[in-house]
Amino acid sequence: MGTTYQPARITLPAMSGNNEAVNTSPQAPGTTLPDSERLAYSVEEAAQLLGVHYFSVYRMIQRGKLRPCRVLRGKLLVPRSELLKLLKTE
Amino acid sequence: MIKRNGQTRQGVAAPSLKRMSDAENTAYFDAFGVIKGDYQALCLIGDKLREVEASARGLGSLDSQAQGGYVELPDAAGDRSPWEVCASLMRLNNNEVFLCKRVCEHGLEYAVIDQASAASAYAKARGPLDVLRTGDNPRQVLRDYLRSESETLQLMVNDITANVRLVIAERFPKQDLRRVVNEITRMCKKVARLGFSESPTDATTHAQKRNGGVHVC
Repeated sequence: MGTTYQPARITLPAMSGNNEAVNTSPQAPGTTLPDSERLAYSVEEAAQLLGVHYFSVYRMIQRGKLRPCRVLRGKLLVPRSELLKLLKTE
Repeated sequence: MIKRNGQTRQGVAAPSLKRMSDAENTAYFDAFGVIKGDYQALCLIGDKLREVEASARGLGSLDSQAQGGYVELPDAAGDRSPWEVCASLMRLNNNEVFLCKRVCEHGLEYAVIDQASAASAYAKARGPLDVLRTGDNPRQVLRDYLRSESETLQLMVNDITANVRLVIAERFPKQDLRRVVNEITRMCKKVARLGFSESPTDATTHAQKRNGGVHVC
């Protein structure tokens, strides 16, 4: 996934409703979500943040554990809110 | 394509690719260069799942993998007996998928479990074990697991295809390159295809046909 196409900025009108831009440039893996203005992450980035293989993220989406949004010709993005929900300890 | 001796030539390259224009070829190599890593991962995962598929037809080989060592995975709830690993089905970097079993009140229970690294953020929040499928019939559990993974592969293919569309739209605007997208989609679908719908009986029949009806040890 290292060669995945990464547009510099992606607008998410469906999510934010105000054409806020989302930076989808890759970030370093971490155990917590970086404190940024990002609204959504690519599947690869979500996998890095969760510390799992990205096929596991696709599996979580397929099983309904993560609800993605589709932007720009059907590309999947994982909303930040979904990641936070998943990482919230009960 | 016709060969010199008049016979039809088959299986050399995708026919659609041969008729592509220079612009389409350029776009094809450009787009494929971008998704090459994804495509390779797709091939790898597809191959591993086909291995699982083959092993599921002769479950003895899966059970025999556990003979080397007895591994236990603790139950997430902690109030039931731990899972005993029968076989490792797939290992992908931080994740490993196992076929497991344990004794319950009505006999043996089987499960396919995805184990994440204990150090991962996901494991810290949700626990390292994700039970993907359970049941009392290991063959059925594996078939259900493979069917589900096949759908996941399809989701991955769709995402890769979307990536290809993005690349082409950005780098080759106002050009009709649908055939390039279709060609890459076809390739991805081909490597992501599992034959889990084929029943063990059918597989045996095909093997017998290939071997001329003689059992091969």
